[in-house]
Amino acid sequence: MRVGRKKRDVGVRLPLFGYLSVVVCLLMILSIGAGSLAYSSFYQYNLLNSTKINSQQVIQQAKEMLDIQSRNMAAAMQMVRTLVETDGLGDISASNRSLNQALLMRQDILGVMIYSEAGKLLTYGSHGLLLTPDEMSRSTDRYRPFTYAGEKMEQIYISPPHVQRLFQSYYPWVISLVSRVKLPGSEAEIFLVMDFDFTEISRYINRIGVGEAGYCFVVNERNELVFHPHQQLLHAGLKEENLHPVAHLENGFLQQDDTIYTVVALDSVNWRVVGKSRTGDLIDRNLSQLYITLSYVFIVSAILMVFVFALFRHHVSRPARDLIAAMQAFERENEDFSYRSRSRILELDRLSASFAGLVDRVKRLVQEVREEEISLRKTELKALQTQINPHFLYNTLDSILWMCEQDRQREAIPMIEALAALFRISISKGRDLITIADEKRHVENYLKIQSIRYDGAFHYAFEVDPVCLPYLCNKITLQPLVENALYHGIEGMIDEGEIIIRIEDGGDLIRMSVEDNGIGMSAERVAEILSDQATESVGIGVSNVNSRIKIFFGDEYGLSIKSLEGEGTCVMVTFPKITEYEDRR
Amino acid sequence: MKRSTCLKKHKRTWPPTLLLLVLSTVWLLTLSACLKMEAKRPEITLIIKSTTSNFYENMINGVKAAANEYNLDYRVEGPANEEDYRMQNELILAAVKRKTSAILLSAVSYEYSVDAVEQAVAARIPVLILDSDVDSDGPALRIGTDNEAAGRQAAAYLYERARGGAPLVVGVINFSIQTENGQARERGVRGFFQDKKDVTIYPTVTVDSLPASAEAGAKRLLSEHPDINALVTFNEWTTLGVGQAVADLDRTDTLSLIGFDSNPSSVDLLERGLMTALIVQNPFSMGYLGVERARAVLAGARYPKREMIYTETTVVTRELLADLAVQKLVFPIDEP
Repeated sequence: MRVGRKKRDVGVRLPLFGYLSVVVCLLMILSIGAGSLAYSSFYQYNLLNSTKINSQQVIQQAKEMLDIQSRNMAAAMQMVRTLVETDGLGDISASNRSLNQALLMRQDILGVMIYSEAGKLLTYGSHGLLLTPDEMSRSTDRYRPFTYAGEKMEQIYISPPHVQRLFQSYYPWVISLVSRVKLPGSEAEIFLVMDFDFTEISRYINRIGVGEAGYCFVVNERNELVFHPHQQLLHAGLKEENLHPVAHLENGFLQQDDTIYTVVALDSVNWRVVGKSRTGDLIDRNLSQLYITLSYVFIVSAILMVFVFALFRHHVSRPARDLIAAMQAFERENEDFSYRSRSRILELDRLSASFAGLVDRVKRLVQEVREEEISLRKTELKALQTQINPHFLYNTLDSILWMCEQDRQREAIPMIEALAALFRISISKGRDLITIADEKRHVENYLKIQSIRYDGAFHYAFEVDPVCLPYLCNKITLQPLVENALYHGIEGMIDEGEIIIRIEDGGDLIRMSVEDNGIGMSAERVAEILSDQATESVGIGVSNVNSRIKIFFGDEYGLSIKSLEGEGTCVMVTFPKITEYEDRR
Repeated sequence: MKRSTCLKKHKRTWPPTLLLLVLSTVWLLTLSACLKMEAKRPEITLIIKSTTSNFYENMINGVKAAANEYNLDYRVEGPANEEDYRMQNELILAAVKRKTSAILLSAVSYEYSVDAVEQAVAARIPVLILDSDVDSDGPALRIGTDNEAAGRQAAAYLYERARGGAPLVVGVINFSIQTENGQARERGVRGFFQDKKDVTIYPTVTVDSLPASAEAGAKRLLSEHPDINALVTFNEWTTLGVGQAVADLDRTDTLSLIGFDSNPSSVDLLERGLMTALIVQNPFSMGYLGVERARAVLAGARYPKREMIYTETTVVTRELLADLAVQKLVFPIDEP
């Protein structure tokens, strides 16, 4: 039965290399994927966080700066107010001069104007500039804020940034602080307007960078833009600033998609500074950079993997395959097979060595079995030869013929019967082992024949323990020994010879012996017989018995010879007690 | 049949291992190179026509605002004289040499700067045109005023204002034939008046893009054709010159003067009533959008060939100057 590869039902089996490749690739993809996911979300989180913090800081600074500015402006305003409240207006030139003085207080005061309640310009202070002739420019219609100037006298209104067009050829950006002042000694109220230079403040706001990509702008309490660094774009309609998100936000954060709004309210005026920062671009840029980097890493890793796999193939896969191929080859033909392999991998190396050892042992065993088989066949062949001993047959038939010619047919009958019985047992239906009883009968028949032929030359006796009879022994065990005793022991004798056949119970084994008182054998002859090198037909028989016993039962059993020249010979065989056996053939 | 498996020679494992080491090093180096890639900040070069112009001051402000917002570096360069196209070409090539990230160009010459622009484009540096164009397919995008429309706008205002009064007799003073803008604006004006029966329009007087030249030219025109009751002129310098001429000749009351751009002196003329109206462009927007789109192009955006983004023009009169929105347009905040 050929032991082939049986398909097990337990799932698909992959070659080692394929399995490893798949696992490693999966691992690589998973770890790169997980890593990049983790990285990008971590990065995004960090970015938003740091943008928030940065915006807060920046906006806070802006607020502080603006608060300081407006407090300073209010303080200046207050001073002039006090001046007007105490000194009044007096005559125009005087008040003109004093207002001019007021202007000198600070560099960023670009005009001080006093309007009547009806809106007519009463007096003003300037840095020596000429008033524009345009009546319209002088009027307060354009100062819509006057309507918001508050009911309380203390209140100061701050106008949105605008261009001062009061003076000739001078058009600065200013913020106007407007306040109602009660003139001393009357119920009349006037409007005091101070224009402060806005350029510096606007430059400052313009320059504020919020986060990585952002800017800040200012809105008033009605959520209208007071100032925006991109106002020209807004008015051209090329950009939009959606103010809804910050409409209800006084102080704090708002995150809408990838835009972060940071709002802080000014203390001094109802305005809010809004920092707007967009992280989207940054995230996109970073992500695309991440993907590019990942692609590089992936590609190079893939190339590296190829080489790692090649290395693995070289050291593991190939030696393993070689081993498998060798095993398969060995299965097919184990005749002249030899295998040697070294591998760097410990387990594979041991496997290979064990396999090589196994191969050697198997080869040896196979060789042994073969040799044993050959030996057995040879021996059986020899036994077969012995059985059909032509000389014996001729002589016996000759004797029978002679008796018949002598008219002594009656005497011939037992001989014929014995001969027939001899050959019947001889054949024994081809069995190797027969019962000891049958073997005894076989040798008895032989002795009968021989004693008639060699009438009076010898006599024989049996000493048989009946216990032994049912056990089995090799067929043709005793007869060659008796034959040997006759032709090499008794034949040379002058007196009547004696042959004693013994069958004894030896515990676990059976002892059979054939003893004669013949001329004996020399030590050399004994050795010759035992070593299976005898060439004479009878000599073959004895050593053949020995061989067959050894083959059948093992080396510890077999034949032994005790012989003294001139005294006699005793040939003994031992073999184990067996009661049944399987025909190996 | 004897089968033998050969003993793998140890030497043969060395090359794969060595290769592995080499590749690992390559891999590490690539990684570090990729990480270093972030550090470089893009630089955008703005090349303008003149470093002394108010129009360009606004454009620069726009560029600054965008550069600030998007965290970019920027450089501003330009010849002192608006006619000097050779200097401009040199500046373009210098920018290419120093491997600037993108160029924003307001070209002096429509024809003679084509080569320099195409060299920049060939060097994989995107070029965006602001206001003044070149005759090339190279630039990625164009941002500017619709000059013909602006011309028509000026003409339309004149026409409306004159409605019900005396028929218009129009004189046109234009600057250098080279620059496409002026030509387009003139085409707009003439185009508008073409089918207006009660309008007379004299041939154009061409002057240099300098106030003195414009002043002289205006005075000559007015002496030749004293019946002119409307004058149109098309850029900052000529506006100044023509305005001065009209003031000098004391023709303010009998003449409607339409000028271009918002040079403070021109605005002053407007405020003082010596100018009827100014067509004000939006150079701040051009500068801002220029940077914004340059950034987009650097990130991979592509626009159709000869694509144009128009920034609008506004007719500004003295009355309108009261409007905060107009003020923001006309009076930009000075930057130092």
